[in-house]
Amino acid sequence: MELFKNRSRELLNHINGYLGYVAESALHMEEAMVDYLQGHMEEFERRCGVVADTERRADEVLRAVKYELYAFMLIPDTRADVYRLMDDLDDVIDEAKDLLVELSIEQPEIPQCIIEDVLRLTQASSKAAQALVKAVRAFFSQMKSVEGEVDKVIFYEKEADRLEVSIKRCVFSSQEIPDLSRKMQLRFFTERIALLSDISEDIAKNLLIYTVKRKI
Amino acid sequence: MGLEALIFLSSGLFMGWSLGANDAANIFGTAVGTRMVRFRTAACVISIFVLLGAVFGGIGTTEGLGALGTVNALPGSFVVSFAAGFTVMWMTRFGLPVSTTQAIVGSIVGWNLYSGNPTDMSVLSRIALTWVAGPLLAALCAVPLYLIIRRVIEHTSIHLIWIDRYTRIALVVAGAFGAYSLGKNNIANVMGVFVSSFPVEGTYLFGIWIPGFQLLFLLGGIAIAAGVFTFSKRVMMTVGKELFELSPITAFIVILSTALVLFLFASQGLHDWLVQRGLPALPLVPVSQSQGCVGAVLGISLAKGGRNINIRLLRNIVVGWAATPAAAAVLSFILLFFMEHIFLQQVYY
Repeated sequence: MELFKNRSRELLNHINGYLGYVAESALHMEEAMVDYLQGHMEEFERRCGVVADTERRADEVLRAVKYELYAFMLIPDTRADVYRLMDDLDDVIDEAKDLLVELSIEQPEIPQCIIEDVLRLTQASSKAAQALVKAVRAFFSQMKSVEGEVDKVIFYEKEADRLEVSIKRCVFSSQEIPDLSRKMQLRFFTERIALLSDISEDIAKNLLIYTVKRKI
Repeated sequence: MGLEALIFLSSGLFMGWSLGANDAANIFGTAVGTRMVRFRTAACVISIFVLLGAVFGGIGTTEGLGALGTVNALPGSFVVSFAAGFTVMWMTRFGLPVSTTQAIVGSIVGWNLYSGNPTDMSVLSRIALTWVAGPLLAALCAVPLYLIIRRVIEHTSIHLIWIDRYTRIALVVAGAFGAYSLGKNNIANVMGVFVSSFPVEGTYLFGIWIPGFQLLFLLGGIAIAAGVFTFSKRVMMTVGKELFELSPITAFIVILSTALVLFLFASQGLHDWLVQRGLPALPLVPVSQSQGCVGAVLGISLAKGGRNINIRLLRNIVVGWAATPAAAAVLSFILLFFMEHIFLQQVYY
């Protein structure tokens, strides 16, 4: 009988695995940025490869999650929300990968005056993504903690915003960077790093609504 | 007697079919409507447990209903059952959560009036009291169940996927209990009026003696099962998606609360146990399952803080308490007259 087949465990493992990939990609992105800023290009390229591989595996798991949700009629009352949540989380991994690919292609020169802030911005964005993963895990098994984790995502996003503005100001007022094209390139990368926290915040806000809907 | 008896029994079988199509749908409506449980699983569970409840536990409520009036002629039983079934069908068209119990009680009173048989007002008032007590008790059961389950879900770390799995199993188990209680409690509505007018001889089945009334209940149970398999799917989809919009967990609470109420009003063992200890016992009478469901839903709304209480549903229930038996009594009276004077059938002895 379909009822007693353990599709639930399969789905549970896939969701947990997928969330692991999301957190992993943010952490690898952070480490790759450190390598890049310290000039360890070989290690940076290796991490780019790891993130690309993580993204590919996450996509496979995501397909399985979507299929299981609908093919086996699991969690019918919340599956639309879970489906959308999983789909949105894919943007976090995609953004981490795309950022590293762009960096690898363009290899912008980061001036000394902003290195520290870029590092902090990267950490804030990565922390926002990790807090988001924690919030999503809480959504599945500890609804009471969702709000607290979402607050952390919002905090890190604000922190990232502040740093983003500070870096942009520095870039456009610095004498160290004479070319406008370089200024604009640095602005582009600053915004891309901060985008990870923006995406995390958007998903976290939706998560709050899903949590309210989950309450019986 | 064979074909004639079957024709006269047809109204009871129709009543059973209608009960299977409508009331059984209340049990698994949300579960099937939200695709938590497949229709085939639901239909099999309902059919098996309704039959078990009807055959092995239906006598208590049948005697309870019999105390109101013992219809003693088969054509009379046919009319009484037909009038009740028609009233339910007719009033359902107006979207009222009508009760087969209230209709059959009205029909029997109509027969009493026609045949000159006195209606025991104390029995009638006791039965009428259960109409109010049924939904009220269902609401009282639903409130603590809701609060406990909500607390468990909010304060423990059970994964959403596991909650879903446990809910599916709970829905099937509660559905089985609900079907058993429905069969036990409501078989009196289906076959109760035929027990005295249609004496069936008992028989041995696999070496076990089956009394005649149980064979009658078995037939009624099969009619209910036929209603489940032939017509309840559409009703389940309506119940699941349009009427209440319950989540699977709240649906479980509603099913369990309603089943408990039906069981309490049909359990001979519990009744005897309470009487032996000098405690007040609930009367063994059929109560309305659909109104129990509404009571449980309202109970949950109250536990949520009283928001979204559907006053119209409440009003409809109260209207049903008076309108259903009154309409059934009038219809029964008129049809008995036609049966006796046009079709020349003796409707009472």
